Amino acid sequence: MHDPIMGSRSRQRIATDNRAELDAWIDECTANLIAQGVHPDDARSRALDEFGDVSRAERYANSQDAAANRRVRVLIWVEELASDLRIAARTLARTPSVTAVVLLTFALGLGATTAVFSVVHAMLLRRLPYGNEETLVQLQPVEGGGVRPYARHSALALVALRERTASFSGIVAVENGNYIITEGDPEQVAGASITANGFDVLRSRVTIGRPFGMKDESGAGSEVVVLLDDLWRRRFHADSSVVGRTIELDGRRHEVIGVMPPGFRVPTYEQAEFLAPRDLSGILANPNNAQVRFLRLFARLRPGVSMQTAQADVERVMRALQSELPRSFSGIDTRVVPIRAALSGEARPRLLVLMGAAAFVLLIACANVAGILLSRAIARRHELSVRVALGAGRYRLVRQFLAEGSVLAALGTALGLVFAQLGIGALRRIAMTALPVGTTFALEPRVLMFAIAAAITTGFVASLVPALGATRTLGSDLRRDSGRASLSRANRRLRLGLVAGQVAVSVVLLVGAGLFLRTLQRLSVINLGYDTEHALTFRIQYTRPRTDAEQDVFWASLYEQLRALPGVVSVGGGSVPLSGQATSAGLEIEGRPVASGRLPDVRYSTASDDYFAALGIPVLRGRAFAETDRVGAPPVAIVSTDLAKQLWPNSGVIGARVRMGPTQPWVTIVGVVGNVRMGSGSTEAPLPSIYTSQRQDHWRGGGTVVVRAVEDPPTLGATVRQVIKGVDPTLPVIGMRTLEEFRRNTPAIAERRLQLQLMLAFALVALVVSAVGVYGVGAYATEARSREFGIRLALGASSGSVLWLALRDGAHIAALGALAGVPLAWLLASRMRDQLYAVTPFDPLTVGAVLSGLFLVVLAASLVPARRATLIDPAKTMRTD
Amino acid sequence: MRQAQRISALYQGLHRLERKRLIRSKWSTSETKRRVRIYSLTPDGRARLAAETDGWKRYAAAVARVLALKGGRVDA
Repeated sequence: MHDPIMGSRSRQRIATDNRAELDAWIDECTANLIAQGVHPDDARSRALDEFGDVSRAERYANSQDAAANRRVRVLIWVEELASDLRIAARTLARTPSVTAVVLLTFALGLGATTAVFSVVHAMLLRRLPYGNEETLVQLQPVEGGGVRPYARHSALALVALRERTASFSGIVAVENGNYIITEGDPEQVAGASITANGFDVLRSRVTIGRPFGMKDESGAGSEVVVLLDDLWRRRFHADSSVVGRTIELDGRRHEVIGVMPPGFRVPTYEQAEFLAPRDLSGILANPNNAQVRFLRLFARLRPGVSMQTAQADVERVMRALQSELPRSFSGIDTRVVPIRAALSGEARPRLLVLMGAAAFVLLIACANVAGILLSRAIARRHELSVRVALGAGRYRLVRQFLAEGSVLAALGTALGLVFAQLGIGALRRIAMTALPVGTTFALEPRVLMFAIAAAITTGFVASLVPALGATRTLGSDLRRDSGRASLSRANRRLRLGLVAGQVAVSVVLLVGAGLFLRTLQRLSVINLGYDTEHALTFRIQYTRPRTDAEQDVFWASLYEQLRALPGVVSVGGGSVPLSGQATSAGLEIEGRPVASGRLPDVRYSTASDDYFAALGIPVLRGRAFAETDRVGAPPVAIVSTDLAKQLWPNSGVIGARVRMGPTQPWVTIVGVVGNVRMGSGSTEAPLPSIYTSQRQDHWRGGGTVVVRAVEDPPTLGATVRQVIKGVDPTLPVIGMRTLEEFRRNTPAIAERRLQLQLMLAFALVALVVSAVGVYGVGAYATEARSREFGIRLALGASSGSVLWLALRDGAHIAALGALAGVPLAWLLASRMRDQLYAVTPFDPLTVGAVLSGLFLVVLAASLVPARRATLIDPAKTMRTD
Repeated sequence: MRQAQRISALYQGLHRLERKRLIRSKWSTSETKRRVRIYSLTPDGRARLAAETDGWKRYAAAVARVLALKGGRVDA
């Protein structure tokens, strides 16, 4: 491409060349003139004269040459770069195992980090489907200082907050509900009932049709719904003529009046697929219902009102309510929470832990790559010495190293991209149960950019540092020894330090994973108060309202037929506490004044005769419900032992009469049963419970059934479905599963399992990468010291002592790593105390297991090269020099 | 003085042509054992020369025809 002789020249050189060219012509001309007989004294000036303006010509030539030179230089640079990259690729291909390890490490670090950060990004930083989110807040009820996941506000609270606060331009109430679409293919869908101001407060618009207004809320006309995008696409094939059509929900016709935009979700109820107007006037008319807490409240701050002002405003109102209406409000506070925090609430600390773990993995990956490149550079000193001796400049050598770094970084990034994509796919599958419905995530470009930048920086720094170090000392090196380079002290320390750092980080991750494992273990053996083994549960939803008499006939027949199935022990009806959903009510005791203080808050549910037997809840005193407890007979109730102890500390619980509100009938307590835990996690403590009989207190909408069998027969589910079909073929059976499946998939357990799986994956990647690092150190040290080992063996050292010499580095690394890792792990573990259950952050079992496992891995990783050291043939190594 | 300007112009022109990569140069030794710079045409230069020569010939022919038409005499 460029002239090899007139190639890239310095400015100085150009000037000298051009001057020489000019001089040559003038000399020649002078000589010719003299030959023609001009006097030598005049000849030179005649020649100069003949040439013309020398300095101008020279300036012009210099500038032309410089311009040409610049282009040549670019060409040379590109050509050298291409050759550098070619050489780099060849060099890397010559050591395929090292290259593969570096690439894999890069890719693992990059892939894991990018995938997890993308999920975190989706959860914490995603765009919310509400306008101007800075001024949207949730008004969360706080009870006894803590926020319970299912805590709600009463309609009374909504009205009081609306009337008495000045900070909000609007407060919307949302109620969760489940409905059956009772036409075509019956299907259960979640729907949210919201007050008509919801569209204004959330600043969300319909894309088709109209939102509902006050007129719809009052229920004056027909019942109306606004569909969310998903349901619209699924059931109506995105047909925009859907507006005006009707949809049958729970047997009642609803007119579709609008469709929400894609991506819109009901806050904290992401599974909801339609919106229905919520009319609270009926609830408010009944003072008893008005204090039932079933609403979530969201509010829009007025312009210019700060979060603190709003909080103070709400607190003032709540305090007033507490003194005015202690029965309904004593002990209840309200917290103003920004919508984003409210939505990511519980997942946030978990995600932050995972993000930290992912960052650690990236760190380890970078450290490992740096370490490997460092030892490669040291191992290649001989080659470098030769190249320096043959005239390669330092700049050229450094460039060569950089080229290798960039080839590695580029390939690593490409592979990392593939890993990230795979990781995201895996996360999508396993995170299904643990992430809010509708959370979508994909490879996040900004996260990816960051990871790539980290990879490239590592590639560059890790190749630049050894390159500079190597080229500095090279000249003398070649003469002193023949390239069987001895490790410089500083280099060796750096290498050991890098690997020890990786081991330390692995310790942190392993301890984290260990603690999660123990938590999960503890959680799955929590005594829930009932037996989750060998039991099947499902829900039956009525497709039309049923009279009490119809219900009695239906359930009696269903229970009887199910009980007759082979292998079935007992069949009960009533809510499964795993759902974590509870109806709470204030309990009034006959003969005790209620004026002072609030009514004791209890979980209230309705159960069939065999409910306690089917769930395995022990009847401790009195009796379970019986066939004699029917409409017309005296109403009865059963309480949990906590409730009995709390309200009747001495005795007299059996036969006591209570009611769930001033307008409710008095019921007589006939039995005491064991406590049950709500949900499946540690946060859901047992609630004092009261049960009424299914025959006296009928279910509306449908009921949950529990079938206990002697074992888990795989066909029981199908048989049960047959039986139900036989009793009433139109009834949809929802959510059939064993109680164990239910338990495994409750959020408390499913989320922790996901967290454990990810943490474990990170820890294992870290461990493998560190093991590779340890192996690398050992292998290199053995290689570098093979001559020394040979001499030792020749002089009579036992192979055992040589083995120890070779193992010593590994032992140092393990010890250093543990020394740094354990306190670091403790430090971090104590920050995730909230996410552990029944395990201290300093769990000795976990730390012990991690350390012994780690020592084993490090030992194994250094044993391979150390073993090689003992097999060195002294005669051979001596001869190689 | 006319000749002197031509030498300076030639010198500058050679460097300009070299920048345009129509010619290239290298150092060599002349018959008089002097170190001199030798210029030669590059392939690009050769092509350009051919094109320019063609153009020049056409131009010269056209001029010659115009002069012949007027019956004028052209002094060499």
